[in-house]
Amino acid sequence: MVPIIGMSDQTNLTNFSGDKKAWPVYMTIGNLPSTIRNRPGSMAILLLGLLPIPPKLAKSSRADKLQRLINADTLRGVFELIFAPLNGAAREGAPIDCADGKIRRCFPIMSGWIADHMENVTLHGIKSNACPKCEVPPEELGSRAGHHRARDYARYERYERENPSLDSETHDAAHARYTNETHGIKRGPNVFQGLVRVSTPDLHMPDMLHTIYLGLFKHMMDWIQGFLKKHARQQAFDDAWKALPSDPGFFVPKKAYREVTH
Amino acid sequence: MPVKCSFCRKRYERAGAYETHLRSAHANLDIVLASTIRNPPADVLTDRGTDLSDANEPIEHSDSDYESDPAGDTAGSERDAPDDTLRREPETEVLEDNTYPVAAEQEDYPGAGEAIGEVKEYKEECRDLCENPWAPFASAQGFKLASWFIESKVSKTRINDYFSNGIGNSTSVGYSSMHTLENLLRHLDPYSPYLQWLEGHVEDGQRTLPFFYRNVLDCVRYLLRQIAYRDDLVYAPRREYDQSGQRIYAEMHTADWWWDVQVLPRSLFYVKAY
Repeated sequence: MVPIIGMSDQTNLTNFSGDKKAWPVYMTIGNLPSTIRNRPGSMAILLLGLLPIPPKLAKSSRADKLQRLINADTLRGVFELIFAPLNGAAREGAPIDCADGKIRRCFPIMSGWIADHMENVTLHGIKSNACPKCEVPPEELGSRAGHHRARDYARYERYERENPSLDSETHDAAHARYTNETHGIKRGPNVFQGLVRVSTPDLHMPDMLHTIYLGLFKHMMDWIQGFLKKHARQQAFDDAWKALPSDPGFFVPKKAYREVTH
Repeated sequence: MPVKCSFCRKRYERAGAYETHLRSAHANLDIVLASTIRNPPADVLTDRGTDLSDANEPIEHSDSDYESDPAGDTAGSERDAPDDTLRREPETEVLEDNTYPVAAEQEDYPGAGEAIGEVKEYKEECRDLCENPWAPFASAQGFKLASWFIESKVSKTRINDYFSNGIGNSTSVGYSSMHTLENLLRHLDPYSPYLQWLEGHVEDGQRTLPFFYRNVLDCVRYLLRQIAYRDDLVYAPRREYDQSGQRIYAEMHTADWWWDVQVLPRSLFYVKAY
């Protein structure tokens, strides 16, 4: 089996050439150990595609709403085209020459998508305060209250397909709209829906850099600063902070923590 | 950049060597102990500490001999890491430091990752690589010049100038212009056709937008075919256990997802049904 790991991020190119954006999509395979594949010199991460950027839209007028829908469909179409070669191979396997001189029957299967939260929001077609993995309501995020069902993107999509009209007043349409609304689904399909042997909510990976490391560290430092302030020990902490010895791969702080903007 | 030890005048390039030095040479300093909390428990630590410090003794001397001389520093650090060209240093180091336990037992997914054939002309390809490491360049000099051109981003016209003005000797390097160099570069990566760009068009209601993409399957073929990855590629999931029988989760193939999704070769499906 060949687990495929995808990555994508919209990037502003404002610094290079006016109001431009690029949307690169990268891929690598899980058969390479992470130490190899994450090393820049190993060239194991390939640029898979450059996506078209939909034009920026002003706040919602009715025409814009329609345009947003079209954009979402466009995105879906692009991803369908890119992933098209995967489905046959994931179902039946494809003979692929391997580096050790053997041919193996390989099943390339999408296994994870590394992206920041806003990217996930776009790709999964959810609202920006919704969880891409489960149906937890936004107000319960972080409360550890109960277990929530994993997202069933196929169901949302079926609801949408069966009730194409935005304003129809039938009972079914109202119900479908209500369900998708409460579950934080924007209109517009999930781009990963329909991949063979893939469970869409499982593709979402925690965003280590933005959420886990940075979030935990900031939270901890805020707490410590508050604690020190209460006990008037900030100066002692700053002295210790500035006196940290150097270590390979570690950047020695020259200023006190609270003097630096983050 | 090498880091200077805070307590003496030795310099270190790598975190592992620096920590070993701190543990062995300055073991009496409380602050060092505070910085080594994440290291293995005391009994393991003393054992390993003495082992490693013995092994590192000559290296440390060579380091301190050159402490104030910048040229000497690089020489010292080179001696410090003689295998750096192999680029496998970090992994072996992690294993030595024992930051994650080595698997005592392992269980492979039966039948997964089995070969179904041999790649044609693979042996020839490997032999060619061994026999003429500079291929497709005529000589080592040709290769080095080309990589210098590329890495220092010399422009194409300047490369052409280089040859037409007679600064360089084209007979000894095997190419005489940017054009012939490009032909050679194409041979350098025989699988580059896998990475062809395709152009797609989408319509968003107002305009047709072009976009560019590659065939995913071909990208997979490209990556799996790279001989450079030969010793590192993993083809099958595996469950690893430590001495006490606890499951170890490390790389992707040692976790559950791959095991659960793994597809068996068709012939084995029937065997498993019994």
